[in-house]
Amino acid sequence: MQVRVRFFSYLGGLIGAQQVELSLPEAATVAGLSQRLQEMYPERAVLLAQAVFIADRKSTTPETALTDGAQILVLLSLGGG
Amino acid sequence: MKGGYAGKLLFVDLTTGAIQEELLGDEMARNFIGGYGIGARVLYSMMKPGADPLGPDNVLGVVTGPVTGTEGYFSGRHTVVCKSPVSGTWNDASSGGFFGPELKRAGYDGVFVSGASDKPVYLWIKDGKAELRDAGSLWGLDAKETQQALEAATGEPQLRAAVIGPSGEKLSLLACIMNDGHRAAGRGGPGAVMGAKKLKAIAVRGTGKITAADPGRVKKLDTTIKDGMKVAPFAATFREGGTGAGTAASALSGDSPVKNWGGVGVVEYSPEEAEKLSSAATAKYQTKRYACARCPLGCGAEYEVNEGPWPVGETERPEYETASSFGSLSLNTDAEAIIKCNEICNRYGLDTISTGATIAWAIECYENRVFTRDETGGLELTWGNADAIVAATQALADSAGFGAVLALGSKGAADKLGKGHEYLQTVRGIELPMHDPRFLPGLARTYQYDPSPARHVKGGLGFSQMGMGPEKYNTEGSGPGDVQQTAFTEMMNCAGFCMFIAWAGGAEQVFPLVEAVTGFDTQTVMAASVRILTMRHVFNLREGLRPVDFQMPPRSVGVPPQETGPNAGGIVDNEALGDNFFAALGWDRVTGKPARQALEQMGGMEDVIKDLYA
Repeated sequence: MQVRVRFFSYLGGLIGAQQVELSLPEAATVAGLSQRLQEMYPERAVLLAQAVFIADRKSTTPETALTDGAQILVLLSLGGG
Repeated sequence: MKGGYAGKLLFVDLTTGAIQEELLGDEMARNFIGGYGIGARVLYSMMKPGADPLGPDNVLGVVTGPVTGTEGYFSGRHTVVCKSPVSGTWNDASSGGFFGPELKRAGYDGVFVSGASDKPVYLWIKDGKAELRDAGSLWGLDAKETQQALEAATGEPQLRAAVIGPSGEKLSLLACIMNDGHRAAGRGGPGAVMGAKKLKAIAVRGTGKITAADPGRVKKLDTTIKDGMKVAPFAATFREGGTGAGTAASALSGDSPVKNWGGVGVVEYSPEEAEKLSSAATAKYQTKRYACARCPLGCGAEYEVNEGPWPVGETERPEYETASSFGSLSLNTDAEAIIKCNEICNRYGLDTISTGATIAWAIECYENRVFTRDETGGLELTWGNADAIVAATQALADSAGFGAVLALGSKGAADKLGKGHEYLQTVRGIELPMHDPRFLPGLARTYQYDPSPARHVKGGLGFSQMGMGPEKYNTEGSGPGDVQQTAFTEMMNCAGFCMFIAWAGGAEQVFPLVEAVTGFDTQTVMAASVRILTMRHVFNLREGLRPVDFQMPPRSVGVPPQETGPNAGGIVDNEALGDNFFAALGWDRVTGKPARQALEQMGGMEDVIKDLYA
């Protein structure tokens, strides 16, 4: 399947890309996508492991199955005041 | 005393006009380090329980830490302490900028003000000399005007001042104490305490030098911090966009509360709409960067807005908490409106978190017909109505009409009107800050049971849970880690550090820097952390408060759980977190009392033992 991944807001700057299109296996899950992104961007793997994944404006869990054509938003919260 | 301290505390009685200084004893410094540690120790001694927070018996302290004013990085902060007129509890609120270092260089580690003046005055401190001066001509000026007027009155353009604006003068329970024109010791109503004392400002000028016990080690640790910043992933993000860089992502991720804690970001906002909340969306207004004293990061920025519906001119970039409380909490995505609200709050001396949260509460009340349009004075308080949010903020600042009710804060307004309590998002009357315990469950314990309730800058497990899955809701065995994280933050705050020393890669340098500056050994510093937490806690116990008197608003802990979004289904067992925290500290879960043996071993708590166990 094909999915489009958007690194939201300042995360795009940290990753060095605003979005990528990926081919994933048919049974791909959010956990698998996260692992794939961590392998693609090893210098940001720690951050990506903390990220929240939103698929087609719906929240996900690591077990959530992805669908072909899904638009994935990857979010990273900053702490602070 | 080896290093880091000015070595003196200043005591001012506004009722009699008496000013006296006392040496800061070595035992006090070792046991309570600085900031709200020394503040809690002094106020516990000076105050009696039951004091009216807005009466002469409340004591207002402004206290620095040992690293404040030294060469150590991230050391620009000071802390304001008092009994809160909102919560009736112990209260501390910290601020950055340059006031704290200036106070140290003027010769004082802290200033404690008791009594009340019968006319407006300001305290002028210059290089070890202090005097009270008439402030009649300053009364009514806003925080920025007051700074300029003080410079003119004293002929000292380099002075630094902690001041109240008109909101503090009018005893708004949302009033804070501003310094350097735009930095704020914001939470818990300290500006109202200062206003009740008719103390318009504390202005200081100091040319002394604060020397660390081991200046060479401080220099080396500074280098280590700077090296750490090079690899810390968020350092550059904070430098470029400030704390507001993350506002948009937090609105969608479940970190920021949405719609007065009742909404879900990904439902309410498209990514494009949320992006409007990011500081990147207003970068065009930036004129220059701003950094507090000895800060290698510089997360602030100055703006200039000369167009649009709210051309405020020169102003400051709103922080994350401000952008969220005036933004996602009210479903507002108009960044210029947020800048305007921030400017109003800075000038009038209002806590942006509580002001934004109070307006969000009022909007929900209005939307649910708790208030009519007649009652709001014509304000159309609907979700996302930027014009109404700005108008309500201005009315609140002016204490005009319905704004005079809002100036009491959401809990005060609900009590005054006798309605709207079901929509309050407060702990002991203080509005929750802008990080959601459903996203970071450990924050629930911090918000509920820190002696200064509803604070995001206090310690605990919360921020260490970033990125965790559903296991973050598991409370088993949370106590020791919660206490450890809390003790670390106690030291970071009381030593005078900005919390960004930890988030910019310097967490491991906090304790070594305290040791290098003070000359105290590790064991002394670590013991002081828990002693400080305990001292603040027993202040509340002496006021007759018990753990049951501190309650979280249900929405914030997932009661009922959200049906969708990143926090869907999440229920925070905040009472279990509290059980574990109290057990790890040896505090009784019902009475809150620390075990007598623990207090005896702690040392420096003899009067506390007498009060609790006589």
